[in-house]
Amino acid sequence: MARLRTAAAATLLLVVAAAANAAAPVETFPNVALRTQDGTPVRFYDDLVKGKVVLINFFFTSCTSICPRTTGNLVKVEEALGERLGRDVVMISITVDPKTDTPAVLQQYARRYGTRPGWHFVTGDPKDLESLRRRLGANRDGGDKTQHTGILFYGNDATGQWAATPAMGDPQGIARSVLRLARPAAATAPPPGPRTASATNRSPTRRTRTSCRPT
Amino acid sequence: MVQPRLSRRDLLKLGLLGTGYIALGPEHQYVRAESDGFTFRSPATRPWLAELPSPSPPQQVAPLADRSADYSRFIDGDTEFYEIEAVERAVSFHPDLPQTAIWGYRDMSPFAAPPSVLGPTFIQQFGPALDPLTGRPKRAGGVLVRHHNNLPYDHRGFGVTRNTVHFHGGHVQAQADGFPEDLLNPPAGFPNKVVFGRGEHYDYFYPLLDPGFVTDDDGGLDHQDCGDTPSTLWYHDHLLDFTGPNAYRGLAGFFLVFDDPNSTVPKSARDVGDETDDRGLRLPSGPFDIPLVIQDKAFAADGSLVYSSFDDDGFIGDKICVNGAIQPYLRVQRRKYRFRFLNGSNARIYQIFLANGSGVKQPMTQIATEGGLLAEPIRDISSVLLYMAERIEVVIDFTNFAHGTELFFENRLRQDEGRKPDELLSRGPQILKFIVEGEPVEDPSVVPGVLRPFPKVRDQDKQTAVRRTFEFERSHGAWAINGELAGQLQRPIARPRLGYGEIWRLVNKSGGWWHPIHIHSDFSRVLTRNGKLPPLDERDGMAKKDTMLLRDNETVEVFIKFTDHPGPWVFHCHNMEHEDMAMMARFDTVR
Repeated sequence: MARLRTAAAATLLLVVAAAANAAAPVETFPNVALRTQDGTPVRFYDDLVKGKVVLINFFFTSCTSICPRTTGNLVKVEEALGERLGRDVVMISITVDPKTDTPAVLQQYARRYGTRPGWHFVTGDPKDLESLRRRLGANRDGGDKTQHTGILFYGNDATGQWAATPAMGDPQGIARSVLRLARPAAATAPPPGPRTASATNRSPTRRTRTSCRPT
Repeated sequence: MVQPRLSRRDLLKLGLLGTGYIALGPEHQYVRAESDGFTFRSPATRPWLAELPSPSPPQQVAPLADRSADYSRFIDGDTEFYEIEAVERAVSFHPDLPQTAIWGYRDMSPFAAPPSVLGPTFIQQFGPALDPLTGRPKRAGGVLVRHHNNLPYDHRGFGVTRNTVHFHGGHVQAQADGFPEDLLNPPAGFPNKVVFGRGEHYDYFYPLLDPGFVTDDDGGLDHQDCGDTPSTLWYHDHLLDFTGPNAYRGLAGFFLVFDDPNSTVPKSARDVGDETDDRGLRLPSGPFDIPLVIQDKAFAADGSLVYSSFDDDGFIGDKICVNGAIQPYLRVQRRKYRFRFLNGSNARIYQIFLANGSGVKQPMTQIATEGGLLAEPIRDISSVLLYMAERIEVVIDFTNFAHGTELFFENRLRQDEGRKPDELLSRGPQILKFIVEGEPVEDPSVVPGVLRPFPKVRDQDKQTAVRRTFEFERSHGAWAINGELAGQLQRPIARPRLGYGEIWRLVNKSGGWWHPIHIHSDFSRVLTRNGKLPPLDERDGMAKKDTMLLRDNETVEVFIKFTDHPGPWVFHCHNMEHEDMAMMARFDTVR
């Protein structure tokens, strides 16, 4: 009984601690002041990332090598994300050339690609942009800012799960990976019982092989 | 060793399981400094407080009647069944650290031993063996492992609660290999769904057959084809984009395979796992045969695991764990021991020396690598270089060390970031202490001059082999293979024909990153390294490998012959963060 009481007290402590943790972000990001292509002032974390599923890449508008192809590929990702974009999924393209890439230039760039709301092109103070590059580990090719422009970071801020993938990857595949991270946040189903499980490979839909011998 | 504070079931019983429940405090993060150095510091821990843990084998369960139909052809009365679940649990990595929440594989049998940091260690025998009744070769019954995913439904932090379990080094049907993602248009016979979520399970069947047995007309007795195993295998999560965090959280375990004492392999080459049984090689066995997985971790002050989701070079921790313990000790008798190293780290490469407290090197004998026993032992080595996923087995003879002698495994390879090691030091951190005890004891084990010889790939097979080149590159911070951005698993990059030899040239053109390349399904024979004869411990004729290291600008040529099982498979860099950033390609073996 005493053991049970101790357990209950410990549990209460855990639950209280959990309540405090529930709101705390798992990963923290510099909450730097940025401007979007509309000229809207935003805070990186509070306004763009907090509680959302996000895709983040680095680029610059005057880049003629990889960026146009990357942006073109991300347009296909944008299409594949469908209605989720702007709802619980956002795309953030961060310039590494803030001197050239003013909000007006970004606006023009976004229009050229016909992007939808929910895809933010952002610029800001070089120091702040550098802090974002550093936080995302996109600063590790010396001073060459064109490096790491081939990477797309994606994650779910609410659950703290983050990954990176080539930005030129299959757009449908990227969208599937991103939306898979989004689903658990939307669903708050209770945990299933340990033995109510269904075998995922119990009833194969296609089964043709009968022999291991080559023919 | 493991003292869960309160199980999830306990909490449910108490009605106190809120949606915000987090087992042991919030997640922590580390951020690399501008200088790129590893800046996180785990709490200090005193050395040599705890004994080296050794995970127990799992216990069989009753045959699973509702098993996957995919494996019907193989399952018979000799098949063993196991049920393993992935769960969150609290474990101790060190007495000075608070308990740590990990994800671990747990034996679900009611008779299971208490779980440890690692998953249960499977210990199995390979076929084919001579059936005592008929005198004819009979295949092993194999092992069906049902993996359940009972990870937390409300998980927050690194790691994703979807699973696919790779049997690393195993030669199994493709649907039992742990493909990283579901395929939209899978090849015929391959399931649409191989990744299983919380509350689901997936059946894996491991036939435990030597490659070649199923297809060879003579019953697989050709020693060239038949000699790939037994060996030190392991199983770990292989989820697309999240293998690093999921394995780092603890989803890994050993799978050791021995020969049947009645194996059709010549008895002079049998690795039967019994030093007193003269039907096989009498290598140190039982309590003197010890698997050692080396993994680096980082811990917060509250004991929780620290990981960086944004370190694409590869995660480097500052605490080196052996079998899930930081700086443990092992009391050893004055006799020979077999140690099986596995580098289970995400991105750290080790060079491990056997040395005394002053750093004076002591000899070891290498006897095996990924593809099992070497043709001959390599004696008098003082260190082993161990890259990710690699297995190296050594025998150490403690007979001539006096009672009370202390010896250490010392890692002298400095590595501050995931790209590659920095330098070989003259001294390094000690990761495991041996305490030699007592007088010399009777030691029936021997390491003969010949272990498991096998013929090299024949010149005519090389001449007729299909040749492919895979160049591993870096393009604007992303990985590429042959100029194509990696990570497209929905279509294969190659379609090798089953039963036909291939020579793959693996080329590192990525600059300053090292890549251990792992090829699934069959073992490779390393023919050349940078155009020259490879070192003994990987050379064809001596060793069979499933993972090959590519240092800066290196080229490795391997011969591989896929047998028995149609694809899909993957090959990839086993720096797990590189793998997670899509340094991986699919190939489909076809008839």
